[in-house]
Amino acid sequence: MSHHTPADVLVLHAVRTLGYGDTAPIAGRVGLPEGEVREHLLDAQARGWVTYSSYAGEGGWSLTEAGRAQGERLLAAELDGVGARAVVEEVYRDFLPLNDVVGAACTAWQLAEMGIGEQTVTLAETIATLQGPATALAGIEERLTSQLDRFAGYHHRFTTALTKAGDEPAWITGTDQDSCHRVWFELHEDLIATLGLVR
Amino acid sequence: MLIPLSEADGRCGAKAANLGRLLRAGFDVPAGFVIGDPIGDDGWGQEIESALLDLGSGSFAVRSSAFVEDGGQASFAGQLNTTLGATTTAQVVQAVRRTALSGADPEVIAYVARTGQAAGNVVSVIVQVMVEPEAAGVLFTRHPVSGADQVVIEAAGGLGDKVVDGTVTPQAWTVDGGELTGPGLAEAPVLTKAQVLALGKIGRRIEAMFGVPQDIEWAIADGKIWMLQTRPITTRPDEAKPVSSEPGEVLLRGTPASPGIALGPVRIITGLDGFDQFCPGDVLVCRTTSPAWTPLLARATAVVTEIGGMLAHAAIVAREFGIPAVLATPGAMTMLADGQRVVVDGSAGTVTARRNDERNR
Repeated sequence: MSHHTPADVLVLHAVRTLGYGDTAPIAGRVGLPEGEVREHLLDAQARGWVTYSSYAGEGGWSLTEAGRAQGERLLAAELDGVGARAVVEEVYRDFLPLNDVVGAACTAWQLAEMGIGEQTVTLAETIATLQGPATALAGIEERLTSQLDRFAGYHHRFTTALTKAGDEPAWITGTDQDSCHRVWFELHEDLIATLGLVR
Repeated sequence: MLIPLSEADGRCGAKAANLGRLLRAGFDVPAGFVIGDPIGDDGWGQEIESALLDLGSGSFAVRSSAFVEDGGQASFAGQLNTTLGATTTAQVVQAVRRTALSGADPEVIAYVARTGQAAGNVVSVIVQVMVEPEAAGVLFTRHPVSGADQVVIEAAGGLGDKVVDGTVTPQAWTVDGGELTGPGLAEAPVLTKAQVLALGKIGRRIEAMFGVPQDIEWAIADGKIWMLQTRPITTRPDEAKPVSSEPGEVLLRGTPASPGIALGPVRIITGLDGFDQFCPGDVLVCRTTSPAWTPLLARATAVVTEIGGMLAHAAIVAREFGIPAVLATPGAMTMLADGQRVVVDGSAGTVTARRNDERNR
């Protein structure tokens, strides 16, 4: 049976993968009531693991170095407790070539949008290229969630963004929405955090 | 049916066809053969044992003959299902089947499983003698971002897969006519000057043969330069624009990863706890970025990182915000100083000191 991660660990980890965000988006990500998530965030703040800051009127939580280290300790203990390290390492090896495809597709599309280049890719070609990683992501998520259920959701988010991209190209690389690149970037961070790797 | 790589043409998939062309032109390509339709045609099962014997003992690389642009699924799966180091016939056969099936969409795989019959979507598979390289990497015969007419070579020790996975910063050289720039003296170079120049020449010859700029994978084993793959550079920037940076001392060079030129004060951020030091309009200088850094990039005037490359997440986010980015700039965090005013040219890949300005504080 797949392991269920405790709520306090989920919340701390969501701050890491999200990077920066207020209580509501963090609650949305972990699928818990906002009030409960706020309690966990305030606990983590008291321990010096997260910090709250405001930029231009918008506030959000982000991790401290101590919080990053604590998160990695918790995830490593969970990973070895479940006996899932080998599976996640194997998934990460399979993820890297896909990461290259996604990075190249996003880059080619951005350069095309900027008008740099003669033989530029079209939106349809970019979406077609990203279908491959999207399909593979289903298998990757299945392997991960067979061990740890907290990995659920990436495939759905990625394919949702990819579907929307046909009408609204910002869903490819936009940073202010749950775009293909953003979802992928978060999964990369999730795997790095889970395995305790350094970027 | 097995086709010797030296006879491969368009029916064998684009990758094999290009390798066949290189072989026929006299370039060194590891010996091998192509299986045109591993799913639909079972005949190869009987031929493969003797074909492997002909290649000699050792280990083999099994790869899809489809390129990334050949259609998302087939191509990405081809990359995913590269098998390196298969040694026995059984291992090679298994790898060939896996690679061939990976190119098919799920319905096709289900159909094949159910009926034992192939249905369209043929992926040719290449089996080659594996070289055990001292160094390997990629080369572009045109700068892939700036479009400058120079050969760009990226290299790392050992197998070339590390160069593309983004976790290792490759050493980079550019060959511009007879002029050569290489990595700093801080690290031991993985290539000799002669090897860099030889690679540059080979790149130019292959480009001339195909008639368009090429993106080439290569390896050096026992001192010999092997070609592993060549394909056209699909996104070719406009002709190189003249560098219009402000005059002044070029402090650092890195990979130009997001175009544009911007001026601002350097802010070196070593980690998450340094975020509150960052002010809007600063030039963000750091090792690399993770999702947590996106709010900083949103307010930065430019970004300079020590590792990464053109396809790195930091590059993609920087382009999204429309700020210049120079990546893979070793020593940026030690050679620049907080508050120092610099011009970051994300098209040329340079960080330049602002003239007539105090160096620091």
